Amino acid sequence: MKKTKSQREKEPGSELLVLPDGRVMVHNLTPCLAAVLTVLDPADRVMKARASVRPGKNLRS
Amino acid sequence: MRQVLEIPSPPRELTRARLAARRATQSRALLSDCRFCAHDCGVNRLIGERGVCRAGAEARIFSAQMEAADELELIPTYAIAFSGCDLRCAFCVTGRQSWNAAAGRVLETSQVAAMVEQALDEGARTVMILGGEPTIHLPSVLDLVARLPEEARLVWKTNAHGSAIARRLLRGLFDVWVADYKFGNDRCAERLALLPGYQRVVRDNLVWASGETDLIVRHLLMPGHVECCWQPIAAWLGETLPGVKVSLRAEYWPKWHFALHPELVRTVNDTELERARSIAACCKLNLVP
Repeated sequence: MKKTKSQREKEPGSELLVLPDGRVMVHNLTPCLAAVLTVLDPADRVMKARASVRPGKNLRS
Repeated sequence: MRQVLEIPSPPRELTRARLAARRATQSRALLSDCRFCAHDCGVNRLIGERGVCRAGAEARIFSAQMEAADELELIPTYAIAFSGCDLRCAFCVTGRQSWNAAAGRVLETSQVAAMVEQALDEGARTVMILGGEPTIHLPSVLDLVARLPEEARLVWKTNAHGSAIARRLLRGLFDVWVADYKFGNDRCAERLALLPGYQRVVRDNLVWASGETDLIVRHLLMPGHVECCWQPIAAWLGETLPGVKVSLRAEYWPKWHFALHPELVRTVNDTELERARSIAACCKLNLVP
């Protein structure tokens, strides 16, 4: 079903750019998307670090 | 008439929420002669006048979600993005929302505060306020901060083009500032972002922030701008703010009005990235992932 503009605006979103050489660039990377991209390219150490960050709480000292 | 803003240092016993609430009231009145950013427009946003950012009195947001793209020490962060910006960067990755203060939906502070609480319960390490540029919406930002849990670690993500008035209103409220240093010379700032006098303003902001808060200086490496922009930025940071955390970002991709500038039609290549890292090493920068 087609979504209205208002519905689309309320939904969080990410954007991907896949370059001809296979590199993938992301805007608004979410933790879930980081996990997906790590599966696609396990050698990407930066993405792996982002996917493996464990949630924490209340870091204010 | 030019306003004189007296904002005393926060008493230690004042909670962040109360301090923010007090300043929200002060800053709301300042919308009648808006000088939150370095454009220093002086327009009365309360009666519909618009300055460079085109923002009115009401703040809007275009995104609020958990994100993992920022510096590792900050993620996962719950990022709340305000619509509108005082800069006009041709390469803006969120140009549609950042150049349009009317984009997104009206900020409902109590609703967003509830979303923040939920995100913290789900494991967000930090709460990031960004844009566009949040500085142009200071009264609403402060309203929101006044409703956030005292223990939440707050991150102020800014283009570092705020005024001294804005800095005084923000003092003591955010645990971390992530501040952009976009251009290494005024010529590139004027050409790519229609921004006069950039160096003086950004440097004033960075020096101030480094003395007030945990500061991360972020630079988005752009194709063809390693020598003219990154090199002088790195040199200045190394000399003026030794040891400051620096986040060198290489994920530029051609968006928005990039086609107006021939060098911006591609991503950063490996040679440029290597050269940028070499410059960082020469300047003994404290790069953070």
